[in-house]
Amino acid sequence: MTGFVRPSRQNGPFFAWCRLCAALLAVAGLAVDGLRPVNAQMPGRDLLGHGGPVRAIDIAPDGMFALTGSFDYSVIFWETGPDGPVLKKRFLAHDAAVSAVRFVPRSWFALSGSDDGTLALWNLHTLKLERRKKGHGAKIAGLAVSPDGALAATAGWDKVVRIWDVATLEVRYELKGHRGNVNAVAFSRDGSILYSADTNGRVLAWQAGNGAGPRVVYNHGWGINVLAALPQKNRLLIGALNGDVRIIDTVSGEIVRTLARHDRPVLSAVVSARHGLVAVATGGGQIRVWSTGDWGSLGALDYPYGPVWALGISGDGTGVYYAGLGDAALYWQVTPRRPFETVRSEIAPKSRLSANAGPGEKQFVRKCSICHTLSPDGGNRAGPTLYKVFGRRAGTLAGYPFSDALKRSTIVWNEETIARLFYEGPAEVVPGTKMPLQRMTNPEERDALVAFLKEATQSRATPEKQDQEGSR
Amino acid sequence: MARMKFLCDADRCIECNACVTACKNENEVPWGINRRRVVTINDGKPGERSISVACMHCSDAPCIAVCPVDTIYNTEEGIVLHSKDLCIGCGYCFYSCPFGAPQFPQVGNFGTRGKMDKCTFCAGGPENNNSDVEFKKYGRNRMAEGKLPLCAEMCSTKALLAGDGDVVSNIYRERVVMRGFGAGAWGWGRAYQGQGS
Repeated sequence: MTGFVRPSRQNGPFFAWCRLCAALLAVAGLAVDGLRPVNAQMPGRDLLGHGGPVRAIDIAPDGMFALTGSFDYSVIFWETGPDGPVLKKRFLAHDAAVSAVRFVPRSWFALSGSDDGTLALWNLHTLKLERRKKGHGAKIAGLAVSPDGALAATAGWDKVVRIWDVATLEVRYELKGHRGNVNAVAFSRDGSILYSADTNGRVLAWQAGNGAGPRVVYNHGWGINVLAALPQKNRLLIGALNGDVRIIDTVSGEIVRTLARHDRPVLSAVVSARHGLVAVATGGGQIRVWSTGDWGSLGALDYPYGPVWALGISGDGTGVYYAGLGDAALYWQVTPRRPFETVRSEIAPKSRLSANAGPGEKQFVRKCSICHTLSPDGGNRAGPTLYKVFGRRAGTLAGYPFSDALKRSTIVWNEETIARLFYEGPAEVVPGTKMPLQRMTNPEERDALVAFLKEATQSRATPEKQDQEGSR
Repeated sequence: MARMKFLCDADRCIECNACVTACKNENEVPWGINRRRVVTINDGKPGERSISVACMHCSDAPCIAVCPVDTIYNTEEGIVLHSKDLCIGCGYCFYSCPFGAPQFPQVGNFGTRGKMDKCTFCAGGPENNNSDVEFKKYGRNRMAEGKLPLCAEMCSTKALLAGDGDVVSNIYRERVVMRGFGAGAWGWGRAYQGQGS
């Protein structure tokens, strides 16, 4: 890991004098290890805890807490105080990747939407699941909560928008009018209008209170990925497939301003009315921040490790949390900019392949390692660790939340059953499993994988551990 | 070895959607899925343009980089194909693609629930060429028959060209010499990193 150093906690006049000197050096663009003042080098603020790519971020209205959702099927609730983030609770209930998270304003509740089409309500006081309801027939791609916290809206890849009652998670309205998958939803600032956008480039408006509509607000031609209501009345920010970031008038449908044109799709946008900030990120890793007052640019960052599909503006308004293919939500301090900005190295598991890897190891690293480790530590990944999997009965590894189907299974994992799993596919071998349907029909590749697993799951010297150590 | 590319001449597309229909029919693409579509920008206004869009089979395809389970791959001819056996339907390729090409059917004859579907340049997939299983999963393998993608083959205005990148770019260059640059070959630079854009 590169980057941040926790501030010294020593007290006394000598250390106070040292900190003063360090502050003066920092102003001059210099830094002294171990003597970094808080303002020059904040404590590590990256949110580290997921075992798969972070797909969603939300910052609580008071700025003191954060939520992240990940490919690892989990939601993490963070306290983001001045001494660095504290992982309060890792929530597990979804049967697929978590694609959207939102705090419910004026309450101790939060919502998460998943690729499994379900919406979950979490109690952040008791740190327990309140309820989870199935709504969409496909993944939930977008989630919004009304300003009063009474209603939630979800955008589904089943081309439907749903308005939910937050308290009961009952679907109030199913809004059908989109011709393509719905990517994003946003409530107007007063909560009376719900906007939704789809892959065909249309923005529709619905009456949040009774589901009436739709009214076509705008047609971009290219698909729209993100929506965000702006502090100004009747203003909506859109981010599109063709890289456009635009502000549109929700009454006339006219383009008020084009903020940017990118080479890659816009994947994320977040607005902080409290701090007067807008941040946008793209599939090429570009992150830009503007002031909503005069639309002046406050900063830009090129994240070198791929797309950025989740953003959150920090509670103090000085920085942005962002996430892409890595397992962390990273923090970038926007104001004041640092003279030397470092980015945590985020290498996707499938790229951690050593040059001398054998054919079985290649299969594992490229196709399995995103969800499974080979070490005793499961690493919070979407699937259980495969450590000592041979000879183990399916669904019995302690600490992993297996599906009921796998718990009931009588399969004992060995060369034959693992080969069958990949020949027929998990859904055929264990109907009802959470494991995605993957098959390896090539017998040579399948045999190589099984042979590698048999050897590698017995040892702690795992390839991903070696590669992680090598990349440090 | 030829490097296969698509080129859409934005000055010639008349939004007839024949390419969309040809693709659906030739590959028996299920209802609700369009591997190719025609996007019209500034619809009904000055500067209106239509562009036929599908997977452009990019030189440095971002979908390959983001796929967490290594489903997507390049052929020797530069065509970007994928294995529906390995796809887990996460949608990361959709988010990374600058053309919105990856589609995710829920049900249908292209594999099972949630498997990604996209243009194959009429080149099938990893199964044996022109086998039944290849057709059911990926559609027609015209390339194995020595033919180019049907969408471009039957484009009446030849707005959509497909084939060896050097050949199609030369055809476009001759057009530009005759008529001027016009609206350009939309997406060419984005897909092929500025080569000939």
